[in-house]
Amino acid sequence: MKELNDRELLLLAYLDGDLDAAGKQRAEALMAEDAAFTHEYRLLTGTRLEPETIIYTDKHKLKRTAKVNKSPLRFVIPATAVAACLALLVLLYNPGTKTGSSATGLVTPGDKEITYSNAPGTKEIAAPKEAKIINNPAKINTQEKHIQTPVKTQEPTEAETIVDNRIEPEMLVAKRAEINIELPELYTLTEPVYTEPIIIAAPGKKGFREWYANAEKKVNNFMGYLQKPKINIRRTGDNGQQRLVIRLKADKYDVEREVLLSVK
Amino acid sequence: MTEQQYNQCVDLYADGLYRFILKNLRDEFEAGNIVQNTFEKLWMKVSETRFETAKSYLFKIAYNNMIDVIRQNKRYVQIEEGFHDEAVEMGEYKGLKEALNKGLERLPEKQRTVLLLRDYEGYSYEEIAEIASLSMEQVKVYIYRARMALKEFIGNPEVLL
Repeated sequence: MKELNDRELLLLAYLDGDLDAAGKQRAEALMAEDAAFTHEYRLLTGTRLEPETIIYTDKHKLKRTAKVNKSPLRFVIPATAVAACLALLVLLYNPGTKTGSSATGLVTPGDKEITYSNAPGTKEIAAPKEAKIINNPAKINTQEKHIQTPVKTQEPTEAETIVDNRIEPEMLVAKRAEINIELPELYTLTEPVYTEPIIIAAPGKKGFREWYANAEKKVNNFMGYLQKPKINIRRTGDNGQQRLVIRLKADKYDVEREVLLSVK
Repeated sequence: MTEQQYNQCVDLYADGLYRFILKNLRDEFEAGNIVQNTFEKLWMKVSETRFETAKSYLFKIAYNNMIDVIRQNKRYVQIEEGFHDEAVEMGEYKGLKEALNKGLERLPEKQRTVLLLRDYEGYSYEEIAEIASLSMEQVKVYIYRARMALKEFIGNPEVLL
């Protein structure tokens, strides 16, 4: 490609307002002494394009919303779960709770003196002198059983989960999904050259663009009997309800179909 | 970028993006298609993309998508050669704007793209180079050639004004 000479570069930059003060001065000096330069500049100013106002009317289709649970209980249940976890941690890390002797005065058989600690690394303290030795296994077992009962944490319910309507291709890859596209209405447009549904593999590792191209190609093949079909395929949906919106335009036809994606 | 900023991008840039593609392809359906795909890609990368750079990102994605469409369809013929021979008598057009639009349609794809990015979107040479994967020098050459071709096409604009 032939590069621009200094004069052309100066003219272009002056026209585009891309010159610093020194450059601008240089251009103006040249215009004052060179009529051809001035004439060229005046002609080229007429080639500046005025932006047209063109509105894209489907903006609402592009917008996204992440659905967030606004139930007043949304903080209560997780808080309960956190409290339960903390309680479990305290119990697990506190050997004193193994027997619970400080509260009940119960000790295991054969123990003369029991040491207690509230947490790992804390200083051990002596057992209360009034602790009595008993030989009642039933009681001991009951006590131990009570302490060792696992604390069940509350699983977040579906309603509490923040739902994001992004569709990650990887999700589909992991499941090796296939997408059925059936266009029943189009069968009636002409002789049914295709009787099988089109199977289009879900977006693969190579990315959405390639997947889209393949999908488009397959639909194109399917629509081969129509003149210059144009296909608009987009995915939509949230909370697991993923859909494929297919719009086909060809000849006099302009058909839009929403197909629920089935993961096989 | 947050979800709110993403939606702001839709409000701010969807029109410009659509206009840019439409002016190049002259196909509303295809332009709408590309805009949808472009924003789909932005949404997929929403957490990795900064709001400040989103516009350039969108135009770059849309431009690449458009090039793919052009190559796929093979329906846009480079008409760099012989362009000047097709200069139309100005009497055909009502004014400079219409004549420029016609001239714009006849420009080779790269020249048209860089000129639209410059005049419509106000991008700097450097930004255009980034979007269209060109060098700064190439951008300048394409813009210069585009302007010269338009100048030839419209003849003397003073006649029209």
